[in-house]
Amino acid sequence: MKRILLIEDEADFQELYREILSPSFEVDVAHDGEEGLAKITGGEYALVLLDVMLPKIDGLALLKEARKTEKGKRAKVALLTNYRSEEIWKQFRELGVADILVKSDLLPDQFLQRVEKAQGSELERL
Amino acid sequence: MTDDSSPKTDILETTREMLHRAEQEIIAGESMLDQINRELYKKNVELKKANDELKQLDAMKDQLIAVASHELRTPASEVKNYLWMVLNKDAAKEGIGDLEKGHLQKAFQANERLIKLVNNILDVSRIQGGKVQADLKAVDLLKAAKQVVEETAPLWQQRDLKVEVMESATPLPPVLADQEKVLEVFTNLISNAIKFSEKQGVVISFEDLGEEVVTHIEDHGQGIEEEEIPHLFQRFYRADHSLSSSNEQTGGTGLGLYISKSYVELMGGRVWVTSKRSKGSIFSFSLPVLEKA
Repeated sequence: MKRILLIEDEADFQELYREILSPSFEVDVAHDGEEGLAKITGGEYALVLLDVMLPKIDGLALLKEARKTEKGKRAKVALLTNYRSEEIWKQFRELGVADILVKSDLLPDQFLQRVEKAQGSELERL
Repeated sequence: MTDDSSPKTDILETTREMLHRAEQEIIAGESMLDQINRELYKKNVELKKANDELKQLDAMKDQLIAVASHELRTPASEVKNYLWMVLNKDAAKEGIGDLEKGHLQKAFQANERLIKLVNNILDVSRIQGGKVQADLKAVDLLKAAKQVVEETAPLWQQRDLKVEVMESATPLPPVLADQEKVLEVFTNLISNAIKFSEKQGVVISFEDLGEEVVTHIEDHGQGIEEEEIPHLFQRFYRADHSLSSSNEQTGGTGLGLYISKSYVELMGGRVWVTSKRSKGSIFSFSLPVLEKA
């Protein structure tokens, strides 16, 4: 089973997305930015679902750091957030995110479809 | 020798006195001017400080709206997902009665409106702060309209209406616009048309005018009173649709038309409406055609 890393600090969301993803994927959870960075640069995942607002290291700083490493450069990352800000999304797009998933816009089946698509997508050359 | 009390001396003395008084007056005037200048400078400093404070308050307001809308969307997203799971997965497994299903459906729709309202408030705050930019690229209007018609299917199917997209005989030229904003405009206008239509449904058509393409979204509702038309695109304005039989379902945010107008104008187009009481309304917007290379 393919592995997904969910970097999400809110327990309710961890539980929700674990429930939606677990029939199709093995879900590994990082509870803050620091743990997330260690897991991206240390493990192999079909997709990383990254929140923007995180304790210790925020999502943007985390991805910038991760992209400096060999594993982090190759990691497929989709943003999973409720933060609607074109300026912030643009910065993430520049760091090669496969998709931007807005939590409040997506139903569970739509979320799963987008995750399937993102993990199968070609990583854009940075 | 000269006589000190000669008229010539008197004149000189008087002139000297006058000059002295004038000099004193000039000095007093200069001192007054200095004081006025000092006061003006003080006022200027105070105004600058007040202006800085206002700017700071404005930035705080924007930040507050951004954070509040993020925080409000968080529980709303969870409600959305769990209600969907109950309605679509658990109901099939456990069996839920129609009454309960109806109640859950209403809760789901109310939560969707809440999310829409939060998003719209954030959009309005960004529009007013001049923070919205258009990422202009080639946009296929027909494709965008079809996408939104598909996405809004639960809305029109539930009301047993049809939404028809009229394709012109010749292909439409692409317009120069922001894809996301075009989708948002279509979503607002089509959702509105569905809400206020009765029986006959909604028709979407296009007009290629050479330099611009005009999109018409026609509903067959009760129409809008003429005096209401100028207010339709104002923030929080909601037309009186008390005659509409679908009144219960018309609860909008009162922001969709304002946002649509702002977006279309940002992309270099116009929005207008024509309406006949008891016949329905046509909301139209134009967008510039992408210049041919």
